[in-house]
Amino acid sequence: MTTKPLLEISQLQMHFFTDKGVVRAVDGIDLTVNEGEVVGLVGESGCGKSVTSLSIMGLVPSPPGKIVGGSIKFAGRELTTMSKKELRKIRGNEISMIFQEPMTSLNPVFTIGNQMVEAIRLHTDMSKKEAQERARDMLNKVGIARADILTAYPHELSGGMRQRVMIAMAMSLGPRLLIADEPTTALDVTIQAQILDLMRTLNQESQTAILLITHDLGVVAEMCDRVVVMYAGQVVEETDNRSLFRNSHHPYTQGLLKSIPKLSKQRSKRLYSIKGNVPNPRNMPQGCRFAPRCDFAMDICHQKMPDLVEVAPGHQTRCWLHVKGEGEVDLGSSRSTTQCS
Amino acid sequence: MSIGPSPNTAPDSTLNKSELEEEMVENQFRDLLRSFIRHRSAVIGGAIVLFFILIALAAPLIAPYDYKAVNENIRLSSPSPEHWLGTDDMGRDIFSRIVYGARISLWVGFVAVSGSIVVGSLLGLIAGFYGGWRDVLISRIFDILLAFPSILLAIAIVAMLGPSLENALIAIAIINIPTFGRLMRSRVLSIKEEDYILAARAMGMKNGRILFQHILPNSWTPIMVQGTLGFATAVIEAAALGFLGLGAQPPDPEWGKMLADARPYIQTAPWTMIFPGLAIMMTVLGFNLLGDGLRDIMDPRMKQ
Repeated sequence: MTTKPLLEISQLQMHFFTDKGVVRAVDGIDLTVNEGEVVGLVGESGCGKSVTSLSIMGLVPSPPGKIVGGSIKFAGRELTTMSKKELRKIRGNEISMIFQEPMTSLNPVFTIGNQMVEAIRLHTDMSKKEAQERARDMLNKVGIARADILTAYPHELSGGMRQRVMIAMAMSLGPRLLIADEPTTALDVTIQAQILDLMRTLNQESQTAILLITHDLGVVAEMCDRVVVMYAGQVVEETDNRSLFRNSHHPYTQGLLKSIPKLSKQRSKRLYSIKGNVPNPRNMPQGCRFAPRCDFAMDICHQKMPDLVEVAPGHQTRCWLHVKGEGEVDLGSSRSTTQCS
Repeated sequence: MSIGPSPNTAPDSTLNKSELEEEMVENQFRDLLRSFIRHRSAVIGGAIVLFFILIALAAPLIAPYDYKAVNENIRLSSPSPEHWLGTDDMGRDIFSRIVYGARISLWVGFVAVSGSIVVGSLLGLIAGFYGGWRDVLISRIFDILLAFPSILLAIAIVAMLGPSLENALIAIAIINIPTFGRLMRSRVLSIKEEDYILAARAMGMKNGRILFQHILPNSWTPIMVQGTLGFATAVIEAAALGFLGLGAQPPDPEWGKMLADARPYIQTAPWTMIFPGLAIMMTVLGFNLLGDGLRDIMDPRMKQ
């Protein structure tokens, strides 16, 4: 696997200018996806995951959304300043996207074949017949072998089938990057596993990089090479899959991990939950955005925003506990108590 | 789902596009026809409408007399074997006039409704899809048009253009534009937020393509239903303008005009008024029943 960066987001700020004030939905995100890599983008609802993905595609409605700073580079090209026309050539062709709701992501009045052929012919010179062949191939690849699938309407298919169709459609032009926005959230668990398997296989076969947006750490564990954890519009931790589960540093990540139910634990014990709520995006805390909910918050946490610091090669975290000279003293104790078993 | 694949829809990969499309359309059509036949008032309405359409088409074959032929000797004669529905104040055969009048009424309805559908939908699409100043401009124009009582506005327009059937038609088309425009706008507003529109954008589609390929096909059902109901309104409005002498000019056998001409004889020769009135009522009833039926049938929630 090459480690050439395919998508480089640096200091991206996507703000929404509303009547009630500015919502800083994405506030200085750094995110890199290398070629052929699967990167997980994790965080709770409203933390800016989806806005990040839509920003990459240039699909955030504007107004009210506006990129106020930072850059998004795809294969060396800057997407934020690109013309609409150029961006359209990239969308669906080099970067494609699948969405959370397979039930509503297909146009109800057209057949599957119709929609796939349209998507393919949008970016290629294929004849209808060739495009149909391609569509059938892709549908076979995602495990739909029904002979009449091309003439079926979306409402005749189940959710899992529709998500397969969406994946087939997204992969039919051999994109270099696939953005999957919670692709399995709306599906039941057995179908989830099948869809994840399918995406894994496609990633390995075609070397398509995947940016997987999810709030499900189980999905992350199964799929991702690297993980970026977001909280309130910022990256709070970035690391590889293994150290996320073994050796996470940020109290938020640790909290997320602790709130996963475990089979081994006694049932009588209440499941851990992170106290409090996500801060109001119009009125962010002054210091660290997680400080009001953090078990380890110190004075400095309420006053100053910590920077992302490297705690190990390829492992960054945004927490005063890990800033040299600030949280040093607490580091030892906090580690031992917050280590997730 | 009961409308799953039927046995004859198992195409192999050699099936070409046109066959696929044919099959698709056929399937859709069959489903629609089936639910149509099940809907009683739609069938009744459809039958009435069909009846009037046939009459209009076959008018020269059906009408026993020339609708313009004046005969002073048989003025205001009551219904008889020679003149089934009697004669009017100029001795013209009322049955023949009603038969020919069907042509005028249906023609007015068809042209006026098509005109307002095309213009209204287009404006509604633009207003709903692009929003911003276009929406403000178009919506305010609709509001202004709706602020007038429609018949008053139609009278004003005809008064400006001069009384004739064509001008009445234009007036009726104009006053119905906001109905279709606002309907379309509201459909577009909700459909443009759908996931499949976002997905279409994510595929790199242009606005125009999204608008006409994805939004329009998803919003035309209510327009069609409203169009059928609008047909009835247009027939009434044409009759009203005719009654006021602003629509069809003599000797054209327009139903509203026939009513107006019959007014002095309502007591002495009621048939001169009853039959044109009945014709108007039946046509309007037919289109209303059909429109209501179509609304039920096309409602996506009614589909299995």
